[in-house]
Amino acid sequence: MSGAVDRHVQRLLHMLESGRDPDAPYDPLARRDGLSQLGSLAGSTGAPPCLTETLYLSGVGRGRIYRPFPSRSPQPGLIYFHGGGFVAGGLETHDGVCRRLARASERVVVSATYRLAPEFAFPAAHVDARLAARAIARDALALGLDPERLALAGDSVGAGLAMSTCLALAQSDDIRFDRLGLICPILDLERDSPSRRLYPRGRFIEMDAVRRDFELYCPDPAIRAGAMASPLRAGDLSALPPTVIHTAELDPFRDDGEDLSARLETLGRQAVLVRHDRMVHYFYALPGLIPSAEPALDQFAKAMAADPQ
Amino acid sequence: MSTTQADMLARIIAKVNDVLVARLKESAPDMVLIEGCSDLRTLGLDSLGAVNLMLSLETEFDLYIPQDRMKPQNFRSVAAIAALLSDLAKAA
Repeated sequence: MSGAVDRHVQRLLHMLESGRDPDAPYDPLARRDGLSQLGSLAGSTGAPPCLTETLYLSGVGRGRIYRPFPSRSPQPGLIYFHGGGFVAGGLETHDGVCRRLARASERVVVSATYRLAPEFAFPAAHVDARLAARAIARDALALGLDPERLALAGDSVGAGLAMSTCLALAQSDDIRFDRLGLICPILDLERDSPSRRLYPRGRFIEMDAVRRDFELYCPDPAIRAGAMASPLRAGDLSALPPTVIHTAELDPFRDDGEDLSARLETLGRQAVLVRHDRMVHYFYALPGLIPSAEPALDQFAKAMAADPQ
Repeated sequence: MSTTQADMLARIIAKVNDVLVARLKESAPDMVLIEGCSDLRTLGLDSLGAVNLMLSLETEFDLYIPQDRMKPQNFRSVAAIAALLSDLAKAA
């Protein structure tokens, strides 16, 4: 492990550091605005065109459908949950990510929103993710999706939502997905781990603030440590389909994805793990600042491509 | 003050406004009152805001802010940003 930082990432970290105020109050809503602006300034650079439609999900929120090409027959689909610490993120911040995923995986991507904290606490985000995925799976054909070739994916806490949803819907509705894709996943809201201790701050993520995000979403530590909020702690992973996991070397949450990969391997399950050296959490969503974001997402998307029928 | 300088200040203030208005939209719906020497941190500029401000300034003025100039003091006020941008323009 080198610990060296990519030069483009280094520039981003310099920018962040020059605006850092150690005495600034914790302000998740300011971060929501900041991340949203960052998305429009650096998130969609080079994003390929897709056919897009807005999807209204009954009662829970909105989605955006990205079709990589027009088609009359049902196409493989991918339901996507954005990251943002449960307090930030949305369709716009991850628009570039979803376009790239759709084009490179040749799946129709459905980006689904969920309610955010502090306005809505646990289990709002988890419930919304389940309802959205269930509704999309049940209505797959009407949406032009092949119900036998539906995948779930997400980044950061959105990856945790994807995994938690995958396990829950297998049990409650016998809905099976053909792939699970996790980008820089946060799979445990309570654990300590070597990567968390190695990179507690100054690597895009400030662990103190993120811990407070988790507490805001889910104030009860026992619930934070439960398998719904922290799916790495789930006892039975047999419902997981072939899983694609991408981590970043300098991400405090790196161990979550890598430990899941090791567990799946021990269980004899199919898992692909890729670690991106010299990269930080969220690098994949900032192609305007970090050129490696594009090839990294393409590689992830290709591994998520459906098996040909 | 020359027209060019006044124009530069106006453009910097517009970009600072874009970054800060989102933060302060509840207390100041349209505009944040920014004076040349106002401390941008007290107006709500944080680390993500600084990234957004630098990216906006680079696009607006078609320049590249080198890492060794990314110091907190260079982004503390509109006046400080104007001085930095003038320096960078001279060096170019």
